[in-house]
Amino acid sequence: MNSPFFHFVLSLPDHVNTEIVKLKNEARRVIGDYPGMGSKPHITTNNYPKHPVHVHDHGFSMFERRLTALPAVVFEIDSFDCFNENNGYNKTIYAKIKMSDHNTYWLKLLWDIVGKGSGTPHITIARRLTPDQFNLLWPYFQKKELKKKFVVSKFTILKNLVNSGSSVYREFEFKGSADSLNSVYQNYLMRHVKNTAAVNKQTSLF
Amino acid sequence: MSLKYYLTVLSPPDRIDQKINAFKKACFNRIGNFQGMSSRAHITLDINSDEVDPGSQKPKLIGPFYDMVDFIIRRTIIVHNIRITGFNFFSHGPAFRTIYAEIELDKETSDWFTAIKDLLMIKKLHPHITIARKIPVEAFNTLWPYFVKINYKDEFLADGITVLEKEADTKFDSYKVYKKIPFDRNLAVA
Repeated sequence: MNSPFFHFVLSLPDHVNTEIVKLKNEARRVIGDYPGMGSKPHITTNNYPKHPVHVHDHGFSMFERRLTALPAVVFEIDSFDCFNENNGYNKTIYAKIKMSDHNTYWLKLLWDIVGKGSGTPHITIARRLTPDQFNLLWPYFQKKELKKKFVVSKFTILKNLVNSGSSVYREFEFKGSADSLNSVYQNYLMRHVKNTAAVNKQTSLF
Repeated sequence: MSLKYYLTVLSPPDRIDQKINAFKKACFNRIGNFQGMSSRAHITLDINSDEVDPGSQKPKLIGPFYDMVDFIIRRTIIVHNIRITGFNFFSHGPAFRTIYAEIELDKETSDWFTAIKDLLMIKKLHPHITIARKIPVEAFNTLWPYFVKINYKDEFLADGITVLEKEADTKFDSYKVYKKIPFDRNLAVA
């Protein structure tokens, strides 16, 4: 079986893309070939459509109005980290994203449109590493410094085929401003503000 | 590609500006010129430089950042009464001092500033209203005895943040308003 599935990611601007590709190549020099070494970097939150694929015949157009009303967002990469994959054997090394308050708000708005992702946002560098590969590579990234602020202005839907990598299926540009946010999200806010008790006079939107 | 400076401030009302400027004028009369002598009274929150996109004329990082921050600030930060309690000074090494009007930082006020600081991703914040910036210690020694004797107490309602912009490579350009973001007024009553 080779049915497609979709994956929601945030595209990186070119200069960050170049930087991550460079890091992926450095990793390859340290440990040799590894899965996903040639794939295009992006920010992932393990976010997938919540409905069966046939619902999306119309190309996710129902997202368009609200996604394009979101403004672009500033993220900051702050060094590297790693996690164990579900099988308990493989590990993934990624560039860590510093989650500031405004990022949290922004992601809530994004997830209200496309559904919630299950992970903290990260940029994968090398995934499915064996313990040996990991032990070689991790010290190398541990002592590396990377701090970078950048703007994410595109939401990308990747189409994956189980046996043959992924391709860009559709992209939406975040071209909103404070004004468009205010008008489009009024309803959303009304829904949430109702449930929000004022805590110490400092209230939270969500 | 043009580079601009972006200065994020709390801007007190004219009434306070006039008071602070009277103090500045008095300093000028004793010690002559100093930095920021003719600038409007403000509480600096942050300063950044950013490249302006030639197409949209929007700063590349600051633009989208403040779009989002605007949306959040309007709804989560409540107007706050800020009290000025006399004067204090910073030392810049042994040779220079800055005299400023001190902001009372009770728990409520410092929590309020922390909320803003976190939201704007500011690393360090010591809220103050500068009067005489980075003056030589000799000038400071002339002025400070006067300030010690003045009992200046005042207060004003901080009702929003102001982002100012200025060309980085034009020496004589002065700051102009880029964006004003009001704080929430309604929640203060609720």
